[in-house]
Amino acid sequence: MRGGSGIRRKRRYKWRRGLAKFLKALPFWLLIGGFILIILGMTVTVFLSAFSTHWFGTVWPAGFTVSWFVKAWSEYNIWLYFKLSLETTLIATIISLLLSVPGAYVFARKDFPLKHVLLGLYQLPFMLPELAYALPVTAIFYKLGLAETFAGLVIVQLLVGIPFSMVILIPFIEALDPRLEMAAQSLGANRLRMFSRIVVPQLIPGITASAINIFIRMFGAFVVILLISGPRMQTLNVMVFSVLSATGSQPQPMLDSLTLSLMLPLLLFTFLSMWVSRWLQRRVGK
Amino acid sequence: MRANDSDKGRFQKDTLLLLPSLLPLLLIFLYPLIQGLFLTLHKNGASGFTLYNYIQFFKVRNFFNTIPRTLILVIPSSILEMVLAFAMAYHLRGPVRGKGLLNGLIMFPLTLGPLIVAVGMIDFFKPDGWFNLLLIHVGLVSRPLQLLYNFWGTFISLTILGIGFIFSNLVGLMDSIDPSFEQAARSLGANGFQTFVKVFYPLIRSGVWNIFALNVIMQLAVYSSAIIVGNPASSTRVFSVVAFEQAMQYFNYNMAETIAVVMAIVQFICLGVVHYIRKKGYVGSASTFK
Repeated sequence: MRGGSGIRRKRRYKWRRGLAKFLKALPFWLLIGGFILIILGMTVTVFLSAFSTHWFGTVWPAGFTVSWFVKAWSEYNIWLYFKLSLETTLIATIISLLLSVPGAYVFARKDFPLKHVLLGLYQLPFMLPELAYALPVTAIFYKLGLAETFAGLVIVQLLVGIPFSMVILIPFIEALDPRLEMAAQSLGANRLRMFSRIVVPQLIPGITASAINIFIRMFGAFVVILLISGPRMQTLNVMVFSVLSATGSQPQPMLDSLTLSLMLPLLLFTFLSMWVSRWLQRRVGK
Repeated sequence: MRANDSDKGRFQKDTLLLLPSLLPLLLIFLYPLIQGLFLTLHKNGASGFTLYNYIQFFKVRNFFNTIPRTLILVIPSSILEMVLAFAMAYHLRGPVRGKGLLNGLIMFPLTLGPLIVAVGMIDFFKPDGWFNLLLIHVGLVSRPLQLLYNFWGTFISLTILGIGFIFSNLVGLMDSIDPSFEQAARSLGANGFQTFVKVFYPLIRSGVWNIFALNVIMQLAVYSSAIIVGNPASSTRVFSVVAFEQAMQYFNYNMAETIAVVMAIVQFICLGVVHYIRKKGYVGSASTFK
């Protein structure tokens, strides 16, 4: 008898502890669930609305059509702006990496006067409001005739690309084993050969990581581009923003189709970057 | 001696490798920044040094009111974001089923950016959108809430993006803390709350305030959500809205840059306050020596 009640008491105790644990975790799960539901809701409504015939006050759209999406692409020349965004961002990514890999190497390996001051200079763009340097850049570019040109767009992207790739690359180089470089030099390799044969191949994961990171950041760059872009020379997100800020001019499904055209490449790049980083981890792990 | 000399020569040559990345930065960042400071000291179109722009900023309501309007939007939302994101990250720390997916979904707004979040909000929070339909159906409100094209529109947008940003940083921070500290506290008889207040929080408070400061910096520059889901004519007339207006509509770069400089000063004051709070307490490593 006594043993039985003991087990029952134990079981009740266990059950009660389980309930207490559940009640303690409940607010957290409600919070996380609620936040995720809002985010998913926002994403799904953009999708649904972009492909709806009309949608007012009901839970579900009245009907589905692709005509808004097609119309948005033909009327706003989305392909043109998409191509322009892709080209400027890609060129700027390559240029920033070419420029910052040697610099990052020097920062990781060498000591020189004013090192901390210079490192601070590379980080300063993150600490200042973008407008503080974007406005004078715009004024200077208009004076030089660089504003509203392809070259101008590429150059201002470097403002994002160089500091970010430096900050990402330095720890990657610091993690490399310097003995390999010493060995290469002691075996008679000159510095260029050492750099291209020893440092760069080891650095491929770091370069890939920073390329993806700055590409996504530059693709979403906004403030400077908005200031220096003209009606024909602008990136996709600035074009979408100008349509959106002129409120009431377009029906909602049209605006959603535009937004979707901006969202799809971003999603694609994000999945691509996740896939690449996983692939790199596997490769480096081996 | 010889080795020393050649070392010196090499050292100088290697430092030259900095130039490819340094020169562009000097040309498109530092030079314009200095030029910008000079811009603020000239009246638009006139020559000669003057404090006219700064005097105008503090005299004209349209300019000066950007300070309280931005702060009242950014500071409360930043605090709310920190509380919510901290609760989420704290709960999802350690082994939780489906953690990767949940983390990815919470950081998702960061991938989308302010523009897409703003459009998603228009669809989701509009008077006859899913959010209001749900609230009315449950019976929480009798008529739809006006959550767009006013203060709350920008507030919600900032909160959604800020939670994503703070959460993504907190995940890394909390992972860096050795769980054996907490286990030690628990085994010595502290309850969950005590462990959190006396052990866990002191270990990460410095990092938490850093993330808070970074988030405030980012949010003080709010622009696109203030335009698209806010009311840029009155309640969300923040720094960037007025600065862009001066630059793009009136071509008054001098005044626009003055606003940007004031914005930077406000930002540094905020950073100073956060730094002051952060310094009062343990600042140091939270991982064990391995």
